[in-house]
Amino acid sequence: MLISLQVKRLAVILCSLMVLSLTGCWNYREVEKVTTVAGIAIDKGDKDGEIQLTVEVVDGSGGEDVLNVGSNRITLTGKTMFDVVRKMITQSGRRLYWAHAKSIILSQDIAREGSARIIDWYVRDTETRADIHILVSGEKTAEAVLRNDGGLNAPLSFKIDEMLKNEKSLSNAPVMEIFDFADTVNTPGISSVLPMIYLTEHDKHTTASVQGMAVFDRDRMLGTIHADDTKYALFLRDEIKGGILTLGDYNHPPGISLEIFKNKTKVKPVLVDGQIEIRVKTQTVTVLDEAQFNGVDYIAPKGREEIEKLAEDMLVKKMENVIHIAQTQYHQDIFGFGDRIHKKMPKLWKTLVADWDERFSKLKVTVESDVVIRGTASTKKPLKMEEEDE
Amino acid sequence: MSKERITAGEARTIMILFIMGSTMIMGAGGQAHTDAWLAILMATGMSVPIVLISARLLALYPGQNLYDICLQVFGKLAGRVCILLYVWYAIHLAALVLRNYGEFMESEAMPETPMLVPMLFVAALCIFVVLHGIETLGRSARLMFNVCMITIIVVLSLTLERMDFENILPVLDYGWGPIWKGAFSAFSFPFAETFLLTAIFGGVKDGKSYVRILLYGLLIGSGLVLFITFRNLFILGNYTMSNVYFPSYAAVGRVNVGDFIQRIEGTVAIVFVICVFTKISACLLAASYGIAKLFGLHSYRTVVIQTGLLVTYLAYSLYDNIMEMLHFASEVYFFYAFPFQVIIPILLLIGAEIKVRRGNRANAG
Repeated sequence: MLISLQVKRLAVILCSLMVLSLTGCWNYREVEKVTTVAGIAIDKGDKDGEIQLTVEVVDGSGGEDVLNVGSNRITLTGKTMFDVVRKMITQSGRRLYWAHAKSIILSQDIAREGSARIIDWYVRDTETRADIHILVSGEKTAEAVLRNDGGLNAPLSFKIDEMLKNEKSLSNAPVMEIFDFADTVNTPGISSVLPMIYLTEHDKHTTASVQGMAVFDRDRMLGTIHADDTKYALFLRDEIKGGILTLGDYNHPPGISLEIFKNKTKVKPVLVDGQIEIRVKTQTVTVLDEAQFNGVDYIAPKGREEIEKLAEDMLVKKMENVIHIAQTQYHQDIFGFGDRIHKKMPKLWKTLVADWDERFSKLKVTVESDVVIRGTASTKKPLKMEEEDE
Repeated sequence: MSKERITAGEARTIMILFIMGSTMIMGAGGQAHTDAWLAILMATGMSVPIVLISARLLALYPGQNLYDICLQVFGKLAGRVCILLYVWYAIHLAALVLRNYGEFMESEAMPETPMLVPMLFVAALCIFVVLHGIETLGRSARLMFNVCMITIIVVLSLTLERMDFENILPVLDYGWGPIWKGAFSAFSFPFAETFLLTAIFGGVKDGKSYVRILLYGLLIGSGLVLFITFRNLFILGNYTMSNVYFPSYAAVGRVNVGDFIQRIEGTVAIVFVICVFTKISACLLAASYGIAKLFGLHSYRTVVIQTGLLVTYLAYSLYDNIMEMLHFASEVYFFYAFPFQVIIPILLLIGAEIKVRRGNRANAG
């Protein structure tokens, strides 16, 4: 080209000057100038048609120890979610930053009237992220749960997040991210469930605790299932990753705890005489991790089989029980049997989908269970060797 | 005009990235829901003849591009009209792709930045590379394709744990109707768009292997599109995949490996920008070649900047909002693009075959 070297040099210098001096985002937000939301609680407002939103914001004054972040709560009401969210500026002074929010707690009123309209904003907006956990408050309001800090220094919402993350070694509540929930609400053949959060009182202060689940018809909550039954519902949903199976208890032999290491639940729809049936088979690998009594010799194959049989019977009974609850009390297919039929027998499903709730209530479900004890942790025998009355 | 030439490998890479283009993020054959993969396979099958037509044309007139062929086959007047049509199509296609990119930036990444700004930057880059010619474009495509592939593979390995392979079931849940619809939509966007590449692949070095270049390009490109569709379906499931505007972005957004590797949606943008850049550049190059041919200019380079800016403004004013864009892409585009992708190519092929045979006979006799 004909451009002389000098002009070129000048151009380079001018360009680099501009690059160095004129760049920057005009809507750049400094980290200390945003208010980070940790969690959200949604209630109905006092006035008709109003939503009351409580947000827990992280109170991280700059320069202090990061481990000691506190939190504040802001409560406001408004017509729609986004309306309240923007109104929050009147209290916080800054726009809220949503990408680090960990949990949403819905009040039961909201959940019972239909939760989809409440979470639409959250799923749709780009300031928010759809991988936030969602729960239903077991107390009167969701605010009550979020407002109680239980003497914690850390934000409660982060603690709830931890609880839900470690739920995998407990299995007494389902773990639902908001997009999972949106998905199941819109998928016929599986009813949504959400974990419940309660306040429990001890030592003069209350703490939040996650247990049990709420059952939904589409996006409307119908009721709750107790934490003890929830575990077996999770078995049927094939969402078990860990947890304990107990046989007997402190007063009743054998007093054994089996820790679940792996579980696979197979749900198979079959046609018997033109009627659809569901066959469930669980395969659970466990380790015997506690044995309070000396009744059974689990080193010998016979004794081990005995315990396995006990656990299998218990599992089958409990699962049948929770199926019974779902069928008679709620008429909701919270186990996704319909979805299985949809996937395995799409043609048949078309004839069932219209009144699936009703058909589910009458559905014949057979449950089988297979428990394997893989080991007995690090000791061979119970501590107490001899029976006293022998 | 001194001929600029690219190698077969570069041509193939441009073709692959061209196909991936905005499909990477918009998804293809969305009308078919869970059977989108089937629609894509069918669309690939339907595109094979189009690709063969373009390979045959290039082989019949070695060293010449679409516009030369138009002039030779249709004569001066009709040939020029044909060139004009393809110039318009190239400009419009570039604008459509640029708009996709703009909408993506606006709705997902930078809602407060005017859409023109990110579009202008990409357009400037495209103008820059087109000014340097197809050789540069080919080499940069070659280089960036590697980046693309590495990103896709790394992201894939991270998303594996989120996948539920049963999401593909049940096959044919909605019957064949939506699948055909999805197949035609995927055929027009992006597979048959590759006919436009005939306009810039006039100077491939080893011209004998046009069929191989274009066919392999098509197959690899559609393989990647298919792959991305599977990934999105496995991660998102039927409902979410058909409900979000940008499935890839939503799918990768769910990656969370041990709370450590998360929020890596940005990687989608990397792949997207690379593909979009290549596609717009190829379109811009085609448009500039066409304008130069139409007006008998010595070099196409004199019109690149103007055309590029035109593309940007067109992209900016094309739709009022993203809903319109989606409507156009899924409902209107197939019919609009049909003449450019099917009718004119077939006419060209017939004309070219007759012309060449007559020429041969005349030579022989």
